[in-house]
Amino acid sequence: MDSLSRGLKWLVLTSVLVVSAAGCIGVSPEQQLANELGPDPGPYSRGPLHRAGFPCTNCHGDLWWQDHPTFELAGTVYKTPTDDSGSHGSQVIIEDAKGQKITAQTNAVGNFFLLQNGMSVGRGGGGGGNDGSTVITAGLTFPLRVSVKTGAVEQKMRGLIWRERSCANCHNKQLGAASNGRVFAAENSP
Amino acid sequence: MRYRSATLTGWLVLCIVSACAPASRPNDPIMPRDPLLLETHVQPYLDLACASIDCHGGDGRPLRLYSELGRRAQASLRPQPISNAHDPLALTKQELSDNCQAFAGVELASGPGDKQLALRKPLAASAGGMHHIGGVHWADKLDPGYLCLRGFLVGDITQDLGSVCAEATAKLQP
Repeated sequence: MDSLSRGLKWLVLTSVLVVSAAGCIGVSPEQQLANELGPDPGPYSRGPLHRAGFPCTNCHGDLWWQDHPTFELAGTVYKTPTDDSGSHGSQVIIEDAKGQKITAQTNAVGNFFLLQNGMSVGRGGGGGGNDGSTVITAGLTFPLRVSVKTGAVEQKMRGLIWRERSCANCHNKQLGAASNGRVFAAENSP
Repeated sequence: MRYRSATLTGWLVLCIVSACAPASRPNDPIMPRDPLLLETHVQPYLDLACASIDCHGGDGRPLRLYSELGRRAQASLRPQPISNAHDPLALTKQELSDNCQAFAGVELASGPGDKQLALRKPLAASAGGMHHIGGVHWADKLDPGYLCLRGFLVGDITQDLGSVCAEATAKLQP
């Protein structure tokens, strides 16, 4: 009876320790970032058109293993600062610190993303086409100089990108103290 | 009465001359973390090199800095997106003062003179620097960016602060 009681005590103690340890582990910072995005609002299912305006590399980043493929740089271009529709066919012109020049083209919802050589988007496209993907042969070296061109109109970013790989982490929908608003090429009509 | 009038005129002339003079000259002694020097010479370099929202303009970053292109103290200071048609508003006196305080805090935490982290983190390890997530900005202590920040923070450079800051800023212009 005494040994049974002692065994029961150990069992209870071990269970408490295991449950406590699991509680301490929590979620990784990468998982936390992805969780903060919330559920996909649609209307597109996963693929090059989904989650326009979201910070892509929160899930498609090199520290993340869940959402293949990983992007070197990605974002969404809008027609104007206040237009909710993405700009199809805009060019995003990037020059990195080593002089590598890349021109990406946005897809139907305004998304673009740079893929490292050997990666493909899986469903919905394969790089270098209308799906918004551009395959690059060498990784980007920061800082980056970026401009966006829609037709003949070009906006050159006045600052440099030093480390961020998702446009939307700095260019939120909401203009404010820590955001210049969305990425756009054409000004609002006066 | 005549003496008072002459004194007043003297002060007036002095004020006008001071206002016309450049903020620093090569042999002027530099007062460390002078907000006027920050505004005139150093802030344009910080705007491009350090204070972007993805670096020291980021929320919760050590040495958080305000800048025209990056973080503002209030949303009302960015009334419209910066673009070809719209320049950013200039930093307020309070934002400039807060930037000076941010540097003062780093100095307090890490040590005076060239020991302060703001001078060591962006400097290459081979030149006495240390690891910086934002990368190596200065290969050595002769880099104009290093001299610009050292002049502002320590005040012991022999070069003209305005010139080295302008050179450092020009290298980063998009």
